[in-house]
Amino acid sequence: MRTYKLDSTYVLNYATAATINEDKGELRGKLDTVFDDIYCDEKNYELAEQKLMKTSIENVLKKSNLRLNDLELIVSGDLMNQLMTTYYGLRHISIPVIGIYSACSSSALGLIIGSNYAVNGKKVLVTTSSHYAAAERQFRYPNEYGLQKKEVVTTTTSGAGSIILTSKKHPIQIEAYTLGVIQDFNYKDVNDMGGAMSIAAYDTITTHFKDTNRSFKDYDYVVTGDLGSLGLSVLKALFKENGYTDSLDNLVDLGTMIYKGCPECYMGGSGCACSMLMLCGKYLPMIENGKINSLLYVPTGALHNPIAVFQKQSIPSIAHAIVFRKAV
Amino acid sequence: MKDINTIIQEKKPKPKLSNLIFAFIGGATVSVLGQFIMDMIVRYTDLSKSEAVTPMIIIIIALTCLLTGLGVYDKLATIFGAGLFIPITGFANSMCSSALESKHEGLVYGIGSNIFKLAGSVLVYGVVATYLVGVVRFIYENL
Repeated sequence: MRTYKLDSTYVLNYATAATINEDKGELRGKLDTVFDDIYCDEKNYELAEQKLMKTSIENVLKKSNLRLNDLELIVSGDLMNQLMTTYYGLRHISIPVIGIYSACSSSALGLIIGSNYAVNGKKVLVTTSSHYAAAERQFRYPNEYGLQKKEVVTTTTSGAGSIILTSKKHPIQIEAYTLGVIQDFNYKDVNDMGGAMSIAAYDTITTHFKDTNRSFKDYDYVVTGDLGSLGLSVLKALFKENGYTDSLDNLVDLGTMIYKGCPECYMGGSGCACSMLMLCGKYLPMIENGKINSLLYVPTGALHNPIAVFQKQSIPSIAHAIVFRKAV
Repeated sequence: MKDINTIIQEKKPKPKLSNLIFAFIGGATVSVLGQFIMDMIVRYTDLSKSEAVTPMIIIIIALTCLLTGLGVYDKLATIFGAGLFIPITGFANSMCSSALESKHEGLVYGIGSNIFKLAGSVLVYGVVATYLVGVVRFIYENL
């Protein structure tokens, strides 16, 4: 059994911060703070990402009328080496911090860890962030380097999202979660993270269905994190090849949606912030407003390491699933 | 039942023919520009045709670095691909972009140690190849 049920974990509030690029597609007008450029009034990209994370935390505290000291714990994830955004961004606060790395699936892992601490009325803040230029610089090439990108790449999202979890009843409940297993099918195309991660999404979703005896029709939406359009089509093909006859219409990918109508974004968005921004900007409000009742949230992470890639290693991937539901 | 590698290969977008055409146009434009600059140098200075090559390359490199700094070059390179990557413009851009990117880590640990991050391979194997060719030529001419 990789699925665990939670009795009383609720989303107290949620908030986002991002840049002008994220304010164009699906999330237009749905973000709490939008910075006009990717520097976010800071000196460099790394500081900009820290600012995004801090802004999203400030936003969620403001929205829920809390102070930092009301929180029990912060669980935070990002893509930078040594979790730079988390540890440098949060170094002046006086409450415990757990830094986590699970690539772009960090938002799910953070919520899973956070939900285990959010008991007896305690409040736990979960935050993840990523930044296009900072990630590009660390994982790929300098930003001004003139390289024709491959058609299959995804674009790292610049932004951060924060969610406060509590055990007191609120409109959005986290009902269960399914932990992912690291998957690797010896795939080595470092440009195509979506293809590499599709197997992890497939494994976690099917395991979740088996553990809970549910299927696609039990959820209003099953959303994957950041597979991009190629990864999503591979995932759908995997379901069909393995004899799933359900309609896959409610299986959507957040990375494909976030930059809708942006040809320079290639296969779509990715990064820790991609799934988090879409969750906080679009789907949690939908649950809160009663537009949908249930959501299976499956962020996917490509666990690749640039050094391992140069050493001709393949790309492992992981996905964790979380069930959000309108509390009854 | 198809395995996942087969599925991915089927779904992957095919390389675009337009990339080939734009690379040709880009490379051709850089070449024509270089030739034009060289002809102008020969015409308006005392330099001979073979002496004009170096100042022409310097001008092309300066132009590339200027465009890189202005944030225009990477956008052009996205369109023209190998057309800008193969000429000296690609080399100049790789150094300039690495230097720009590292400026916040300071002159020594940033710019100094990162400027050859991408161009280093070209230099190392360029020098090695030159040596090898030189040795072959030495043996050929002295035996």
